[in-house]
Amino acid sequence: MGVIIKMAWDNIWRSKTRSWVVILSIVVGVWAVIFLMALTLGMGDSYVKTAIRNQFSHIQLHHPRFQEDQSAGFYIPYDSMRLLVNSDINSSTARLILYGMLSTGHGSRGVKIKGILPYKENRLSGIADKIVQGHYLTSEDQSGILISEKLTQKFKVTLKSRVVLTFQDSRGEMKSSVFRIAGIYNTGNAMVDENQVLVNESGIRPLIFADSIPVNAFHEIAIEQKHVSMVDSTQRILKQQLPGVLVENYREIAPDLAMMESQIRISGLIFIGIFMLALIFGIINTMLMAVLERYRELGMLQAIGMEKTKVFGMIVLETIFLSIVGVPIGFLLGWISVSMLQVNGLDVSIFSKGNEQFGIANRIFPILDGGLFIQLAIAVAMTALLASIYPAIKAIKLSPVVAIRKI
Amino acid sequence: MNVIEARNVTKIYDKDKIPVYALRGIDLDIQQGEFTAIMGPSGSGKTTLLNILGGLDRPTDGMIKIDNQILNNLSENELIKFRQKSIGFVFQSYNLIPVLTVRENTEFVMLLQGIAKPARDRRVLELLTEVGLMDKIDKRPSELSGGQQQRVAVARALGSTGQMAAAMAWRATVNSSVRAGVTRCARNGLAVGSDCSSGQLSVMTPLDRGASSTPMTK
Repeated sequence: MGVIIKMAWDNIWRSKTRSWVVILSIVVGVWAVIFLMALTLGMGDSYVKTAIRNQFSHIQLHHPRFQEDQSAGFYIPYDSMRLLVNSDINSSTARLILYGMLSTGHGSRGVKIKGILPYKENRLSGIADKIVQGHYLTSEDQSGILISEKLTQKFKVTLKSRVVLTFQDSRGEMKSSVFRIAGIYNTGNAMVDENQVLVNESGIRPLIFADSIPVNAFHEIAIEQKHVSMVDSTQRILKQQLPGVLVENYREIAPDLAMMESQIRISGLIFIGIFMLALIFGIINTMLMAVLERYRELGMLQAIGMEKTKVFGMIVLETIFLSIVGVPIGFLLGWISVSMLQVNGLDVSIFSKGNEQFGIANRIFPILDGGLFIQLAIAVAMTALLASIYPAIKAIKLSPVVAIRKI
Repeated sequence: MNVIEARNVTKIYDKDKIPVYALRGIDLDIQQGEFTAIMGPSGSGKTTLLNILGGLDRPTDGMIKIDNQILNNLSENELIKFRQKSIGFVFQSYNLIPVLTVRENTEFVMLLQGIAKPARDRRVLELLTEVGLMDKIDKRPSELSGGQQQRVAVARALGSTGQMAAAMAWRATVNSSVRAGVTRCARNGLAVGSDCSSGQLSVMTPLDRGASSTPMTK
């Protein structure tokens, strides 16, 4: 076997230029798949993280009927101290949520009104950093409202403009209140920005709960984990601790996030599939040339007694060697290029309009996935194996006597 | 005792549906230790006969028996095994394996036969000493002259534990060490040569006799 391996290895270097062309095509292909996948993963990660931070958090708690009815009467108590006993929780906040109408002198629009605890909200979502004009809400600011840059443009309002919020209170009665724009924010996610406004929970609470005002009643409790991997275990614990409360993780709240993650995996497999398809013909062509060129030699080997299985094995090994030489080089190039890009990220602000629509940040930080390396190595080896079959059959089908006649 | 027996061996090539007789009813007996040269003019069927005797080709008709084994009945894979175990080939253009060294080329058939490394090493040293190529043991064929390559080809053929060396289409460049090697092979077993067209190989008469495909001179 040793001599067959040696022959196979040395044979691929007999036609250096031809072998290097195949090797380089594999290097470029492997690099391209790694690079594209790293960008796609980075993009997906950015989308998921932005969505978790701005919209969903890792875990949300609601009254079981709140999501369905969207009625202010379905609230749950918020006991932040009790939640923080769980050491996996990084921060939490609670919100009053109303679905109402934003009206200005230039028109009105249905919006989600979030009554926030300013300090806790900012700790969880970092919204204060997204303020582009004005200031973030303070707990004393009862009539201030935070509105997105997109909505100010749409309704031609500016800082300190007055806007009216109309909504149903906990008993189903219509309520209206005037708020003054305290700050204008831009989260970079158009879908979020166009559909929500933020007010102080203490400012809106008396309007929702007209008679008795339960101070710790909220519609939504949002929880941020220390790490995304802790989501499931915390969810399990909370479900046990809070019977009668709906405890959902971000994948349940936004199934599109989970779908995004699986779509990225699928697109990775498609990248690999296309690359392998292009590669297989190149390898078959090269190996066929190598076999036909060595017709006499292969005939001689069989004439002096080399079994067909060994000749077959030698051609298969040659193909695999030829193919896998490029893989580590491609890995290295992929790793270097992705690592370099990870420092400052890839600036995609040129496409920022489109990115905002999809909630993707303007700077993408590519992510290397270790599993992809293994998938690629296996895919190349399998492709080589597949590509070697036809040339190897050609090699053993030749008649030694026809080959010998030429010797 | 006959090591080779050929009876009524006929080979017909079917070129564009026109039958071409390469061999027509050959009978041949070669005994242990015998040294035989097959001679004839170009196109008389020497190579065809040698191919059939070496198990590379099958006759259209007739029987070939080597070492009491009838080749006609062997499958393709059995023929390969037969060639590996019983025949040492020396081709006209040497045909060494370019990626292997002189040592590896010489031991290649022994490797295929599964001979253990110590025995293989010993045999390689003996053979290369005999053909005078010990100083080239780690060179590749491309670093050798034509004559040196031919000596390696002879060493490879002799390395086989087989009893017969089939030397095909020797050219005029055959030198004294090759002669010595083949003569030694003849002493140990049997050598069959074809297309001998040079006077340098003294045991083979350099004559093309007649135009018939059947006559052969021992």
